[in-house]
Amino acid sequence: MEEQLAELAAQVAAMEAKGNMTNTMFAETYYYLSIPLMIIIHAGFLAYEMGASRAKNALSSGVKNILAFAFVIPAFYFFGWWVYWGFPTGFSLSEGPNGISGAAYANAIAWPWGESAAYMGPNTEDQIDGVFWGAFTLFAATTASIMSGAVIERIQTVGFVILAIILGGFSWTLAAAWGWHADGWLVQDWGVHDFGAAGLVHAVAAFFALGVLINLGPRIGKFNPDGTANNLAGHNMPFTATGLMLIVVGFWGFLMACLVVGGEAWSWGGNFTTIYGTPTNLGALTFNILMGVSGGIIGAWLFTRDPFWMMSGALAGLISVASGLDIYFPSLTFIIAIVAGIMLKPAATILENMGIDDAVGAVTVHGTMGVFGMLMLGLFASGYPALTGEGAPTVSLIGQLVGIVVFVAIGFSTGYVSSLILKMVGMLRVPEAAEIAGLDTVKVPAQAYPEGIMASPPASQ
Amino acid sequence: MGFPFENASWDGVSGVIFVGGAGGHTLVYSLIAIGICVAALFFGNGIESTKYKKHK
Repeated sequence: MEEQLAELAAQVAAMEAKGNMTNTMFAETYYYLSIPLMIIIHAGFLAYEMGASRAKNALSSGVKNILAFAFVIPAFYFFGWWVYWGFPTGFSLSEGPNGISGAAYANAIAWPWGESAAYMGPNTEDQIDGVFWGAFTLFAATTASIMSGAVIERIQTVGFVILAIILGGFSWTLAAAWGWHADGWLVQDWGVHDFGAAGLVHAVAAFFALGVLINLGPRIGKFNPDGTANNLAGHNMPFTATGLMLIVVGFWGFLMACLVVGGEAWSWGGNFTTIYGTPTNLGALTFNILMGVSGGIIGAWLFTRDPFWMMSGALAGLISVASGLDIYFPSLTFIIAIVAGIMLKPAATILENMGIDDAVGAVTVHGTMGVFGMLMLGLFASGYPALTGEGAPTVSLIGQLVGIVVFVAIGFSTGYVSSLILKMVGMLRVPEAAEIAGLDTVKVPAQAYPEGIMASPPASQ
Repeated sequence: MGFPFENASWDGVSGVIFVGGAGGHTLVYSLIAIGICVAALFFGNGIESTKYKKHK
């Protein structure tokens, strides 16, 4: 009998070990697969930007976008990951209430040298840090792509790459440490809740871009002497609209990576939760992502009937509900998103009337709608716990407003100051003659359309 | 809107957690959303018809 019991116990232990390993492998695979999905965001931004550029700048816009992606990855490896774990409690770099933040903690897990390098490279006993870092790296690269579209056709390549490194490696990461991390002071003290990063990714990147645009100035020919604006149409609207749809596809990866998979030592419990440990699941995301995209498109269609704004409306709809994708009722999601789609074009026109040449409407789509989205959560989810556990801070309109102010300030100040320095040292804007000639001719050793873009006549029957 | 459970804590909370959890709210939100869809189609068709009239 005792032998049978011992054998049974051994079998249960073996099954438990297998179950745990299966769960671990699922978690690792889950985040791993979110990474190529998020790279689709970059494929989308690449197509979007190149299509929105005039033919003479199509490839140089592409080069800039590709380099942003390439440089943000090592930046996040070498210091961005440290910023996320080091700064949650603020500039004191002290440890937070959950004991997973502060300089000492970040030193132990996030530097790719010394003993902490064990967490920053292949390790058979660590099946999560690599994929978790990868997902965050793609969040970082997304911020750079958001800024990239706004500044096309007149920014220097290296100057832009430096800005992308600052935004992707530091600015958004600081916002995420404060407003996403469970020890973040915005979460702990103000109950800031931004599940899908409407503020801490989209608004931070957009207001960073606004700071850069002020120093960069408009493209030649964008504004008339009386201040009225001209439409500098991109050379390939179908490419741009398709790129925008690809961004929507990629956001499924972005948002799935905003969930925390259950059942691991680092999880909040046995099921899916938000990064704050609050309950939600893939079903909630599915309902609300689809309703948000749909509402944004319909809202933009109502007043523009323009495929560029309709697809931008899809993003605007999604961003406007991103903060509360975990808890919104889908019909409410649709209503918020449709309002965002309606607001989109007028908001972009206001910015243009202020003399800001945002070539693709990035500040409006990501900034205005990011702020709107955080505000809506404060209105509709007031009283909901912002974190898990007893005595957790709750969502409030004031808390969301504080979060908005902080995110906008981080984005704008770092973008404005860094671009001002680049301007002072002559690394921000291309020379006037190069801009007029076209940046592809000036610096890209390839042609976008070597045989021209004339349509071929159909073959005779 | 307020948290629909007794204490503002996620401990022990399961089932429906969406904002506007009361039955009346879901109906109100859904009716508004459906109304917007119908209005959008009506409005869009009006504009489209106007465009066609200019090209008869």
